[in-house]
Amino acid sequence: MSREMVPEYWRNREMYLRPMGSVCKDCGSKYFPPRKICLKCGSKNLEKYELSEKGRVLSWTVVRYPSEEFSKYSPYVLGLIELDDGTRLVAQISDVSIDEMHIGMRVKMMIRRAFEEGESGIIRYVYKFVPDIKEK
Amino acid sequence: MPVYVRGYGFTDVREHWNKSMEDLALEACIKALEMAGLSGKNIDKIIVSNALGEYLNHKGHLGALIADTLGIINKPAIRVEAASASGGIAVHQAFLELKGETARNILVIGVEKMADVLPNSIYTARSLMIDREYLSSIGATMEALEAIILRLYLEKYKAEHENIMKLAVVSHSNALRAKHAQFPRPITVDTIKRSPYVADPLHFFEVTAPADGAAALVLSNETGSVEIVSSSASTDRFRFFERDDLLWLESVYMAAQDAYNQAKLTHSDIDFVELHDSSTIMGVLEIEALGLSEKGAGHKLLEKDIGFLNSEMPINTFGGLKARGDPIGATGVYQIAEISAQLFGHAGDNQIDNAKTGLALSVGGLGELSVIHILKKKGGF
Repeated sequence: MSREMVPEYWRNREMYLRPMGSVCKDCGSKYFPPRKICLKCGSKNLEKYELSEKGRVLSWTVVRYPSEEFSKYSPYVLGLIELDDGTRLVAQISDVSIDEMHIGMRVKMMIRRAFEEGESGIIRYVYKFVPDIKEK
Repeated sequence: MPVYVRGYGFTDVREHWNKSMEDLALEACIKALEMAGLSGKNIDKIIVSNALGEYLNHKGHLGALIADTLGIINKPAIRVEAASASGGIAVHQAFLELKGETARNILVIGVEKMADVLPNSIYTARSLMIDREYLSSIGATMEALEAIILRLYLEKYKAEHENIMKLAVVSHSNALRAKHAQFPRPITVDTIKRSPYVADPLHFFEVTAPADGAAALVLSNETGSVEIVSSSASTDRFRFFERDDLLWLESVYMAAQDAYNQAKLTHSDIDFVELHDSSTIMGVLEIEALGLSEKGAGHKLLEKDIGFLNSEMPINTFGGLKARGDPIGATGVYQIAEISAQLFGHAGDNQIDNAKTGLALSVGGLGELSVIHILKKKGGF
């Protein structure tokens, strides 16, 4: 879909540029994506917390047949990442060759281009991860 | 009040260039109504299952559209959408109405028309089945997430990928003489390994291809010789990466436990199973969550050459999603029609011996919603 969906991106700008989790103030359960109702205790008393910016690769793939929005970027690496605070998420892994990819690889969060909305739409940015060379 | 399959019908699963969504639905419904010995006048309600009509065909409002195509006017008609579990949930809704006696005969129609668009649109369409904001909008696709799960499985359980591929080999073998199957030809583990990656390490021949098809059921609480003894549905966390165990399909497990309880039986009473093998790895995880193997041991079960038509536990008796084909919104309805064909004794070259109890599993996305039906031949157990 090369449609322009600026409001969707605008609503989520904080999440895409600095992802946050939510923590339940009643039972301490942590969530990413942030929730408004705690799955464990049903509380609506949750607040946002900053995610760790570093983590490791639990699993990964190479997207060779992407959806239309990402068609000009393939192939690209997509990883399942566990951050150092235990949060898991899925994100692209950049600045890496497929040969270097391995389970357990240390990565750190960056802001990178996601895709462009058609010819005249906005350029969307999103969190991606790159190898954490210092810890290699 | 028991719920019966009174009639079923389906089209071939393939690229139907000269047929529209409406044409396909009509063809399947005429067969189902003829078998049931009913006309449109006897139908109290129409439930249409379709997953991707808006995106792939620019068509919505499918309940009334398909009802009109069938010449059934002045009756309630709805469309249900639950991604790849649409077919399962459509049958589930019909089951509940018939149990509650708000209708006597319901026509359930699953239809999907995928071949009209180019392949890259198919990947976009399948991406509608996963979360937009945290998955598809950052570059994930269904196939990519299945590949991530596969790599995790291979690592955690020290599994041989070749054993997981065997599920596709079984499905193709069982489809060899199935007249309506999309791919009635054999493949080997070697063929799969030589096919390109769709998303590493998942090969093209481990996932399904776009397909057109329609399947229809006349479900009734009046009469029939095949009974739906369980109908159960359950959800899980929508984004798979949040689940406590990334390799456990809790929705399949919960729906299965409920379905076994409803039918007062266990997995060992099931004679054959129709899995939702959207990919080989999903099929393996489903085998485990259904209780057919221990957790983490689905790949070892496949090593033992299970699943073939003449084996102890036939799986995908007309080829399943992989080889019969996967017209997404129709798939769950095909499964019930095929189990009915086995129990009615109408399965022809694919007939399995002593087929008395069959289980169908319909899975939405990566297990966000699972629906299970158990069907039994009347008087059999």
